[in-house]
Amino acid sequence: MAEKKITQSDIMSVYWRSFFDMASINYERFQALPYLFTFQKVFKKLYGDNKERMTRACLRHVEMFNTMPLFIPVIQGTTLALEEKIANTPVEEDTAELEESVNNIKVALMGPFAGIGDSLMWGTFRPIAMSIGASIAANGSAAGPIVALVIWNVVNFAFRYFTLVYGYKAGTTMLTTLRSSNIIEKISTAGSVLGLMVLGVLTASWVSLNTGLALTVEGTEYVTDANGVTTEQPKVITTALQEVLDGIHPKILPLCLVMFMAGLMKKGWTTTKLIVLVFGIALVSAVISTFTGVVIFC
Amino acid sequence: MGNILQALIAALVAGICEWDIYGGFHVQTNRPVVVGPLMGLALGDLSLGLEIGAGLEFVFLGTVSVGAAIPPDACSAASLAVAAACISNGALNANQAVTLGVALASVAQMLQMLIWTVNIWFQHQADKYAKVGDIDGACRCMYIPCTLWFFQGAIPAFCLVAFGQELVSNIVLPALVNTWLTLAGGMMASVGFAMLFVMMNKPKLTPFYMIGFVLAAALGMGLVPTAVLGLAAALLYIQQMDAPAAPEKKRRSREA
Repeated sequence: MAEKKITQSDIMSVYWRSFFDMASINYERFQALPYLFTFQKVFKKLYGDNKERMTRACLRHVEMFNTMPLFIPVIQGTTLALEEKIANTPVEEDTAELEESVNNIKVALMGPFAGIGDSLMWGTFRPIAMSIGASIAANGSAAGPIVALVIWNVVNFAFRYFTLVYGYKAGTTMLTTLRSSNIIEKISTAGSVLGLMVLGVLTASWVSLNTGLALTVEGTEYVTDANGVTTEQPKVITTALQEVLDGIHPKILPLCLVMFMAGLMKKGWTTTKLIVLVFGIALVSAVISTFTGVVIFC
Repeated sequence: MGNILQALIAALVAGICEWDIYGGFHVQTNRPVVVGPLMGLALGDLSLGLEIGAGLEFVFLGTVSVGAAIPPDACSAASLAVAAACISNGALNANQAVTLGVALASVAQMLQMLIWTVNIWFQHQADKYAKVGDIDGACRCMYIPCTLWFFQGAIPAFCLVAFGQELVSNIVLPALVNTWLTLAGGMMASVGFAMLFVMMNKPKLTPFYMIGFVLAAALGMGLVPTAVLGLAAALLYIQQMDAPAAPEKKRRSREA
């Protein structure tokens, strides 16, 4: 039997197909079907002459799978290496163990990569790219969206390609490397450190909440005029609460709001519930300010 | 007829941008900062699109998909808000359009949930082909779900531009509603940021959030300089993770 070798064009086919990784995402098995789609061409080459192996390969890859999209190619690279091994095992030999390891490695990698990917890519890198673009766009320049797209896509296209190739070359050794070193923990911690600092900036810059409450003290003032006659005059002193808060620390209300929301989220509140809450708080404040003139929030 | 043609163009822009979220490539044309200007360009008011797109981008900056949760649909929010503002003949200003978009994002999110559910059926169809080793058949089951995302974005935009002009150009928002939505729009970003905070924060790492906040709020530092500083902090921090606990012992022995 001639050896079946994964070529560069096979890698490229996996690469381009991997971009459809969420096309049929669903509540039951998430990104399962696109994962199989990625290997459509390669599997025909590897298992085209063996119906039984092809069936098992199809069944392997319609299993539940879900991780952060940018980290799918690296997992596909490792599975590609394994599939190549299975295809090159003589037909009469049993490949059950290898086949099982394909699914094991998918399950073992998708959890950690979802964690890193969500915080590093969705949580840190994309907000940085998009807020740079949006800051430019807010000044009325069409360069904003272009800058945002360029920053994101250089990473989007390059990261996917290089991790796919790395995954294929490393194969199963990647899992042992990841397990023996604390590289996953390191990357995700680094991502969180960077992400949290960026989040601090975002909190200060893009959440807007002020209070219009003021403390008014009415009293009398003794005024001595040029003739030396002292008279009583009414005086009103108004202290805006917002000025007091700004004196303590600028943007303290947005910070409190984000922490309040985070607290509720930890208690199990969903995003939808929190959005309803925001509309609720805003409505109460708007009603009060319209009918009584007391501006709680603005 | 001009209306229908305009609606078709708007639908095409909204559909292509929306498709990017789940359909493929994830080049982020789905972000408000991109779809806003594109929709503005399609309907003849680029600057309005830029303004609304940027405004909605800040609102939805932190709303990301974590695990199996579907975030509010920022893309539909932006395409519909910009389309509504463009066809309203000035009845909707940029600020009001942004807050309209915030409300629409949750409605569009439900459409996505519907597709996530419908796709289960296609997944089961694929299983039937997989069982007999028909990989082509199984992969064909992905084609229809893949196009659904386009229509999820395109159909609402088409309907709005084709039939909604009278509605949005006669819109009169009472002062109360105006105050309400503007206030809600300003606070809305906090939901996404809280989500990111809960996702990334560990008690040990909270100081970095505090540093970032103070740098921006009190010292006025921008995003990019702080991000560079954050990267430096991250590199220093992970170096510490490998450092052996030896230095402490040394100090103790010296004290003794």
